[in-house]
Amino acid sequence: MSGSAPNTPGTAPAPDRSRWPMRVTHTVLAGVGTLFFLGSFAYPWITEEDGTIGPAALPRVAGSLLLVVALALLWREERSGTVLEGDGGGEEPDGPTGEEGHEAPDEYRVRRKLLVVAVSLPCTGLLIPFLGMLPALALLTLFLTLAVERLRPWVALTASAGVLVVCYLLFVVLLRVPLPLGVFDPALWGAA
Amino acid sequence: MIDNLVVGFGAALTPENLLWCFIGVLLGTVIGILPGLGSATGVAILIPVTLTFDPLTALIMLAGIYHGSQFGATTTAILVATPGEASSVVSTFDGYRMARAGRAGPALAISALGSFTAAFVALVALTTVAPFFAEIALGFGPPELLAVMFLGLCTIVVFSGGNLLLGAALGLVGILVSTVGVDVGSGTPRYTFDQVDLFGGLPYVEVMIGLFAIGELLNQLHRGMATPIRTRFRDLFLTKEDLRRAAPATARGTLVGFVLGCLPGAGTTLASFMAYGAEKRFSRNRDRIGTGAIEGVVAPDAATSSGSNANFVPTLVLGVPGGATTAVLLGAFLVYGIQPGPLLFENQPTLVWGLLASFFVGNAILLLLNLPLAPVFAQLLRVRYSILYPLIIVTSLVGAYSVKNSMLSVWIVIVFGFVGYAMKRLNLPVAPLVLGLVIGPLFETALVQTSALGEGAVLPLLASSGTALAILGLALLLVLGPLVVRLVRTRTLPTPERQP
Repeated sequence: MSGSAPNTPGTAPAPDRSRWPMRVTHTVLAGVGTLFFLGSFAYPWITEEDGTIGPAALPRVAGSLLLVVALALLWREERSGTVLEGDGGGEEPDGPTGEEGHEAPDEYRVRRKLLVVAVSLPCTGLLIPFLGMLPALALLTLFLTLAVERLRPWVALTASAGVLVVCYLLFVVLLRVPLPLGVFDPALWGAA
Repeated sequence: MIDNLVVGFGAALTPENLLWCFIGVLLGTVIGILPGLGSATGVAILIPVTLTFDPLTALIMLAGIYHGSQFGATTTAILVATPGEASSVVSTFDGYRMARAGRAGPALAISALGSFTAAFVALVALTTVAPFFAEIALGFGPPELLAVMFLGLCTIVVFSGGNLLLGAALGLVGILVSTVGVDVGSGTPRYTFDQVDLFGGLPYVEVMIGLFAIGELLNQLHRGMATPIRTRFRDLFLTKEDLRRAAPATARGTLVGFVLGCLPGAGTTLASFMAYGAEKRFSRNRDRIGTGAIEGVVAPDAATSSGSNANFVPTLVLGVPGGATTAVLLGAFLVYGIQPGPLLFENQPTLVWGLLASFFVGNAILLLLNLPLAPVFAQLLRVRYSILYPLIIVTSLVGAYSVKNSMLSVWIVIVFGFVGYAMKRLNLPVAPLVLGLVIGPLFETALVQTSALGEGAVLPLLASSGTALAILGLALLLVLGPLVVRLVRTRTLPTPERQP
């Protein structure tokens, strides 16, 4: 996790570039702490029946601690903006300009692919209740291999069919996991 | 002891038991490779299959699944940064880096070897000192467990790199996320917004799959597609240097895993994290841990292996499960009409020693299967990433769904996948978040139990326990030690102004 950030806590010079990603991160952390801290007031600090520690205790203490720590991080960020280990500060230590073990990417193509894959994940999540889990995931595999990766159609079809068959055998036949069937649910057609 | 082992091996090595042990180990490996399912679910799913078996045969097969799934989970953690279960999260830190550096074969092989060695040592320890450790475990009440959980939380320091504040903040986020769901003490639903699906909390297995598998996958896409890794034949095998470096790490991991595994409820996840933390503190190559060091792979795997065996100490001797999987196995014991407890060793020696011997047999089978197969598994990295990543997405989503048969799990994986990606791009440490998430509920349970024991007061109970105080002292040392060392170094090093 250390990445390539210099391992000189508190001593590295402030980088010239904007550190807005770290400010946003610390603000989000402070927000999470505040939400849990305030939310804890909906629950009792002590359980009335037996006087033991109640459901509010941990979220209130941890929430307030997170708020304090996040504010300290923000203060340090504003004051020094130093780059610490485990804190890339929005720097990109390993790309996207290409590196060993990675294809030198065309930045526009990479960003577009990333966006398409990122959007296709929730889209698949929305499709699962309708199409059933395995068909939806096979379709996702086909889309990613054929449309995004531009693999040959027979490779894409083989990969998708393989996913369908292997997952069916492992999860449905062997482990008997009741995966959502969507429109392929026989009960749906039986009722009709 | 020798007589008992002879009886045990005699029972475990019958052709029938050997066959079912092999099947169990194989099935377990497959279950472990699938993200999300994990050993507890795998054992629970397959209990009905064993109902017609002889109790010893059934338990041997279920124990085989337990051990096999631990190893299977590590395999995918090392190869594609997709941990099969929480205890193998740590394997992604150095194992995945070794794999990306073309050393997947040695990483997998040392994992198998370390697990086997740890299992062997744990077996010897189980047969010799199980009653002694059971007595110690009996002395571990809620205050002592609370201290252990606090120590576990303090290992966040180790995973924070140079930025302790940020690590602490992410650990706190993990703890806060773990408070979603029904409260352990009063049964009050917290932060659930009346959604029944959230009553069980945000499951960390799904969160972990999202953070690591999907997060890493999106990160790889961002960096430009990872090229297939082609390694030289000789790089697929362990070297003498690897073995030399792995030996002390295995010993440390085994010790940490065994001690924590003996404690009821501590589980193997905490053991793997703490073993990794111990390496970062005590290993000769501690500076290389986190960059693809073999010590960072073998220590947590040894801890997981010895911890999973040691989990049977409280289970068999006290009838108290050591972790989630042994809780399921405890249920299996009752299904077969066996009552675990102090008298089990006396009343059913063949069953107990047969089961203990089967741990050794199961781990030997795992080693025989996986040592030669490690270079073969490593060939997975030769597959083009354009084919590999859709498969990772599919197995992650189906695996996550099968944990609770709920679509909520799928959405958690997707959402935390984006969180994991953002964390990787910002180079934020993921481990403190996972640690907070895993230890949070254990910590709160121990806190509530201590509070119940002390009729609302926690601190007097902690202060009255020498063991708890010693553990808390160790925790403080863990947090303050590095700060003090840094302070001393800063004072002793000349400042640039003073230099000529």
